[in-house]
Amino acid sequence: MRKSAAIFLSICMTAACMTGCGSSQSQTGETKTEAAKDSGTQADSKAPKEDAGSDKEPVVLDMMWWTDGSETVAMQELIEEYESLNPNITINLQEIAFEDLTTKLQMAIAGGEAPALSRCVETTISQLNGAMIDFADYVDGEELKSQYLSSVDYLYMSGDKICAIPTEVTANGMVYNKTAFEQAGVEVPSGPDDIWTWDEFKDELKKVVDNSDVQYGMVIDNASHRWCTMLYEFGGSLATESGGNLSSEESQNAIKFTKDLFDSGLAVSSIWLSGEDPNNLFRSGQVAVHISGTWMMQNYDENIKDFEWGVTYMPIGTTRSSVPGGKAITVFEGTGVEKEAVDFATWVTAQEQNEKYCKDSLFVSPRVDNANIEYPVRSEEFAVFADELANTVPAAGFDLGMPGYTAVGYTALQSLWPEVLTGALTPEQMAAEIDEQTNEFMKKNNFLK
Amino acid sequence: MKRMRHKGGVSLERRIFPYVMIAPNLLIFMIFIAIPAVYGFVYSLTDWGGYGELNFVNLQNYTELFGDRRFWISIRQTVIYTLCSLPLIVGVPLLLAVLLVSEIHGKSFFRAVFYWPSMISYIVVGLLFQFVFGESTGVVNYLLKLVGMESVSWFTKSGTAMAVVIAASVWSRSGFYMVTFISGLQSIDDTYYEAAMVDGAGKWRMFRSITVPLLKPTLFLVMILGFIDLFKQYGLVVTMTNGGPAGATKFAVQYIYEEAFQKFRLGYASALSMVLLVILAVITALQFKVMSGGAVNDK
Repeated sequence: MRKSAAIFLSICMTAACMTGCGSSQSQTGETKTEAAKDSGTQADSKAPKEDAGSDKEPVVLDMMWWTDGSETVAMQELIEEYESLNPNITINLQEIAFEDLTTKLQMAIAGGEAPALSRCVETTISQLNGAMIDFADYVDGEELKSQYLSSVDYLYMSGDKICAIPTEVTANGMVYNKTAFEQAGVEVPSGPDDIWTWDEFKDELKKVVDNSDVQYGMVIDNASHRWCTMLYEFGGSLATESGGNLSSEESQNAIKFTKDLFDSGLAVSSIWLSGEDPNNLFRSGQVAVHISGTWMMQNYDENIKDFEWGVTYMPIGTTRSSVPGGKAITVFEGTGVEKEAVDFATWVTAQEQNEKYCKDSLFVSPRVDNANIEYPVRSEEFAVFADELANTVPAAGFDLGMPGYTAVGYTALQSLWPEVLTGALTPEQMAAEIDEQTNEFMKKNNFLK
Repeated sequence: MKRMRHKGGVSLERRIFPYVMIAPNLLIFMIFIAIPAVYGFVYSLTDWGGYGELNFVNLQNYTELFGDRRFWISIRQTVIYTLCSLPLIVGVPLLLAVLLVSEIHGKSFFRAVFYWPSMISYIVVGLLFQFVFGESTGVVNYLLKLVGMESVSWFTKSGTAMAVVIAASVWSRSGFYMVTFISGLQSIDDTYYEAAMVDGAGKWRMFRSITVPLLKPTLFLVMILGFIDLFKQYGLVVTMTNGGPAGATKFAVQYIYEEAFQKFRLGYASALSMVLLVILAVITALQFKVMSGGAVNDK
């Protein structure tokens, strides 16, 4: 009797498990069928913006998001405003860590569960553009492009496809501990005509470390995007039309100068070698200079209370440069709610909404008509960053303009620079290895001339 | 109650009962392990980038991985880490368990204290050790400087970085294995010890001749679980050293993860995973053979 009861119980458990799985699959299946129907209808028509909300069926839009400072608050306010204008739309902001963004998106896309929208950077577009919609299928593409600075095309386009709409642009630059520089009696450049060379900068930095409370000279965020600022300033680049360019004399000069900064102890190597957090180091007042970018402004403005800080001009090599970057909002194909997602993306990036978002979050707007936003704080620092951005060399545009290349070049830099710092690779060996990967990529994608 | 009987005399319910009991587990195994493994093998024959159509490249990924120097370095570092950690991950919990089954004051308190780290996720353990041993912002270096000593390059020298990773692994897993050993020790009949004491055996002799042989099934279990756990290490190192310096603590799983989700070479990463699976299976089978599957009376 007991055995029979046990058998009955086991069968029930197994059945319950299978029913559980079955029911969940069935729900997803139904949703997908509905979604597919919607998708079919919407894809056929280029829906005008005023149609938003005319379909009163409730629609939930999942939106992947990460935060660098407190821009989530600004975005959440805009979402609430949009939801009140479109009562049938609910936007579900899913916050994740930036490091997990591409992985999560990739898994979601592979599993057929892509979110309706996502915040993204140029590397996301570079890697996942095949799963993104072309905004030109929904809105006037030329009109959309005309609203944005042409220098940020790479930020939201993959070839001719408009994969996203930019929300903010960033520029790399140099944040410094003003209190420490004053303690050491070192004055930073007063304007674009008075910029240090890298050798002068190195000497001044030594003075600051020796004569102030800081323990370290500088931190450079990472070995790829941020370090490329130095690469371009020395006249180098990751690639040219004829292939990989890290073995060129200019690029080698940049690599060797950087290595010397680390070898002399002026730059903190644990950031690149073991992932120590450069922001914490600067915020704690232990380091004189942080090579970072505009996205840190709000964070430092809110969190640094123990010392004064500012932004100064990056030293000059053979030329000046920054590396532009930015964020955008993209919409994925096959979700069944592409039209609603596009409506929201175009609304939230429109002039008025974008101005509020950038102003509240202390971001630089990529919109032509938002060039003169007045920020409540740190306007001097923004002016320096704007000047850095204006001096960006075309080589940066070439490297960033090859769709998919940052996944190759930046990943290789991140992985090989630590080996150069520990002596496992020479600068020449690193350059040769990355150049080979670059050549292979350019050949495969027809970028070689 | 009338029972259906098979020709051989075994009732039908006795024949199907074991299968019914393992069915839920089998189902979970199939869904989460076996089927994904088959998919993994299929992907390993493609140059799949994460989405889109599968493009089969035959054994190209396998050919490439044999010449992938950095993959084999990551395997080497994984083996070094496992070989250094495994004796500690068996020895330390065993020592703690032996101490905590004896009659000492505050036994329950100490058991709870030693068990507590195993409840923390590897990611948090990694962050904790980064906080303690961080080179510029860590507590240890701060204290060293406070007493006038030189700070130590915990994470930028390969030897110290590996040592800290091993220490963190042992600290975080000892509690779990300690409980396993305690359960094994408590199942040993006291009469063996009483007889040994009558024969004049000392504590060490009793440990060597009674505890260790009778604890063999538990030892075997801990060694197998510990080995697989260590060989698949990922979360702890990523948050603590991010595989650094220069790959010194970059273990196989992190390397595979980077190939898959940073370089978007999921086909190649699947091939690497297959190789890791084979390595793990072979070593586990060897352990099984050497320890006779943990049998107490193996002769």
